[in-house]
Order: sequence, then C-alpha cells, then structure tokens
Amino acid sequence: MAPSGRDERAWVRAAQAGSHSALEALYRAHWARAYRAAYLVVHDAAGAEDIAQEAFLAAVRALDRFDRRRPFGPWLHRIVVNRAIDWARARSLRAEVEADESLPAAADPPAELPALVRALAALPPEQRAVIVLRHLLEYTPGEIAAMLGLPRGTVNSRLRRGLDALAERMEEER
Amino acid sequence: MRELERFRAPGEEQAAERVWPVVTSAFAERERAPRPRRRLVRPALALAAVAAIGAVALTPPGRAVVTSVRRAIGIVPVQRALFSLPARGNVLAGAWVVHADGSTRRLGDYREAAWSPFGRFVVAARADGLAALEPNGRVRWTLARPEVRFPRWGGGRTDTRIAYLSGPTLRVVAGDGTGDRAVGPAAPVAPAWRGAVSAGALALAYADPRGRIRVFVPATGRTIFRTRPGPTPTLLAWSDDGSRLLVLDPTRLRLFDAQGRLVAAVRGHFVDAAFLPRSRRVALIRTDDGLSVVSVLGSRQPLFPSAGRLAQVVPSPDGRWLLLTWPDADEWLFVRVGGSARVRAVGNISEQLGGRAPVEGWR
Repeated sequence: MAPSGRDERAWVRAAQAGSHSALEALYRAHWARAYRAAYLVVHDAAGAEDIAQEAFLAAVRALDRFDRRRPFGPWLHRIVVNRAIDWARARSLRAEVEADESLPAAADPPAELPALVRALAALPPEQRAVIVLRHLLEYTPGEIAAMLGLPRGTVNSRLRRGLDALAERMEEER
Repeated sequence: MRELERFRAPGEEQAAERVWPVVTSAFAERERAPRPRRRLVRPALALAAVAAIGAVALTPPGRAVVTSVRRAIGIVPVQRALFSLPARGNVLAGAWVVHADGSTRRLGDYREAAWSPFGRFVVAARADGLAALEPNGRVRWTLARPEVRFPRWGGGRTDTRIAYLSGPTLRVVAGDGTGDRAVGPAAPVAPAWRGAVSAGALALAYADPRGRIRVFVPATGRTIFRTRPGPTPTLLAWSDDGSRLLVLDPTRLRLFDAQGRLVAAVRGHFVDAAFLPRSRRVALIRTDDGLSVVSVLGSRQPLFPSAGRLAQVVPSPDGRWLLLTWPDADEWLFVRVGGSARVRAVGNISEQLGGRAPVEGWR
C-alpha cells in the first residue's frame, strides 16, 4: 500500500537529515511496487532486481537535491520504468548479436505466473510499460505521458493497442 | 486488471533483503559527503593531469609538480610504507598477509595463495604441492602434486572444497585435504566457486582448453551450463549471491546468469575486474588510448584514470575502497568508491612484501 503524502514527505525530510530509519521506511514502502513494475516490464527477476536497486541508488544519490514538496513515488517509478524499457530493448538487441556465444535465453515466462502476466510478456516493452504504469501503479495517462516524455495521445494509443492485444491473448488461452 | 493489482513478482522479498544493504551502504557514503560539492576537476582534466603525472614522475625535478597535481585530483603524496589499510580486513598478497593495521606476516615459501570462504584459512601453492594454512602460517595439511597453480577455496559452513590446476588438469579436493580427484583438462585460468549456495549445490566454473566455460556441481558431476568455444578467458568470478558469472578475456567482458544466459557483453581492452562485495556491480580496469581507466561497469564517470599500467583491482570487504596494483611504479593505490574522491598511494611494495606479490584477495 502506498504511504500517505504526509508520511512520505516526513520520511524524505528525515532521510535528507541523515535518518536511516526514515530511509528504511521509504525503501520498505516503495520496494515492492518498484520491483513489480520492473518485473512486469522485463519479465526477468534478476533484471528487475538490478533495475529496482539502481533506481533506489539513484534516489539516494539525489536525495539532497530532491524537492520535498513533490511526491517520491512517481519520481522513483519514472526511473524504474524508463530503465526497464531500456533493459528490455537492450536484451532483445543482445540476443541478436550475441546469440552464438551462450545458451539461448529462456523466452517463455514461467507457467506458474498468472495468465495476465504471461500475456503481458508477449507485448513490446513500451506497451508493457504504459499498462504497468496505468493499471499497477495507477497513474493517469497525463502523468504517464510526463513520466515517459511522450505525447498524451501516444500513451493512449499504446494503452489501447496493448489492452487489445492482451485481450486477444487471454481469449486464445481460454 | 485486478489480477495485476494482486500480483506478487517472483523473488520480491528475497530481492528486497539483498538490495537493502546496498542501499544503506550508499546512504552511509552519502552521509560522509552530505553536501554535493563541485568537482575539483572534470574528467578530461583529470585524465590530462594523471597523464602529466605519469610523464613527469620519471624525472626527479618534476616531483613538486607531481605532488601539486596529485593533491589537486585528490591523491595524497605516496606513502613510503603501508601504515594501514583504509578499510577493515586482511589483504593476501602472494605469500603475505597484510593486516588492517599495516602489520604483515609471511606464510612461507609459496608462489600463490587464496582465502578460504570465510577468511579463516588460506590455501597456498608451491611448485610441488598444495597446503592449507592458518593465517599465522601454521600448516593444517599438505598434498603433494606436480605444477600446482590457481588454488581456489569455496563452499559454506559445513562443506568446503578446493579447486586447483596441476599441470593442465583441473583437480578438486575437500577442504580437509581428502578425496582429491581429477576433473579434466583446463585452460590456465583460476577456477571460480559460486558462493551463497547450499552444501549440496556447490558449483565451480572453469575454462577448458578450447575456451569453453563450464559450470558444474563437483559432488554429482552435473553440468549446469557450458558456453561455446572462444578465446581463453583471463578471469572468472562469481558475484557474492551466486547469480552472476563474470568472464573476462582481453577484448570482452561478459556476464552470465546462474543458468548460463548471457546478460551483458561489453567489448574493450580489459585488464582486470571484480564484483563489489554483496553486489552485482563490477569494478574494472580497461585500457583506453594508453591510459588505464578504473570504473564501475555501467557508470559513465571513471573512478580513476592513470597513465600507468594498472594490473589488478581488488575491492575491500565493505566495498568502499578498491585496491589497485601498479607494478611498474611498485605502488598500491587505494581508491574510494562513491562519496568524495579520495586516493591513497603506497610505494615500495616489493621491498615490504619481499618481491612482486600479486594481490589474491581482501577479506
């Protein structure tokens, strides 16, 4: 559950003053959503861990400059999702140029994952990202557009195409 | 979409516990440098300055210039002796143990050595055998084998094993010196034990003569993965959590996950690399236009550029310092990772450690 804005501002202020417990409160409040968002975009647990870790390290490094009047969550999520998109794109690129050097990466998501999550894995990372931001992290299309640096119309069209593709895949699975 | 809201990602809680120490460590670094400072020099200037040091350091009249430039880029003057290490732990260099307070102890007449998994013992090699020692040099057991090289000790609290090369053959022996057996032909590179695993799943990575990396479980012989043939690697190393295998060869750095999937490949001229403790971050030395550049993989900002030929990078146990060896200058450099830029340089290493001693580890 997301912390209240008041709690979050207090934690950020205390962490800026050097409080470990405030930093831990921020971390515990945001880790799960950050990790899940990364996982749902990259569909790789180790990759999601790296991305979420990097996002928190970036947050720690920028803590002194952080504007306490702004919410912490969207700022963290923007880092997570943009890095996750980069990671997913880079992986598909690496698979092409380095395929002869190792065993192939596992392409199919594990069967024990929910059907919706497995269907999500089949979408392009850009579509996954907007669906995750909209339906897991509950941002509005306008907020998503600002986070990803995209026109709002592009966000809406990616959402629509992504949801249509998801619905088709879910139908196929039934 | 309710399914998405209820979704719990695989490994979520374990990952949170693994990452928290890394975050808190970065936070502790930040506390020591609470205000962002203007950098004294930009990277290009730093490169030029260090290049100047390299050029001038050979001429005695340039010493004053060297000193001032060193100060400008955060390097204190070279200490003539190793008075202390900048972080806790002990450094194993050749057959010498260097303690945090600067005291040293010679283990004996050995060519190379390596720490046991928890740093309580040392395995040392001489031309005709292997020996397990206490850090004070007391011998626990020995094993006579020809042309012993690259001993590496791995395992957990209850089951440890030592891998080593005897001539061209990889062999594995139990931590108590029993059950020595041959595994097969291997390339001349140190094998690497995967950490953070249960006793029954202790896995070893090594390179065969065709440059294939094989990861297998010595207890059962089961191969976990094997790569295709390629150049002989110069380094194999696992991250502490056993989730990443680093493979270095002169022109490539590759990272594999525990199942053998390639997760990163970087081209360049790499000299040495090492995982930072409890992390998947890789510190590395690469050469670029005649300079040795020390950096953390993925970071655009070099930690330390040097006109000298750096040979090794070894992280401190807390991950906050890197020990860089500079054999041509007979120096060790200690470079801070993160926080304010700090470098300590110590000279006369061969005099203090009885010759050129490659650093085998810092525990």
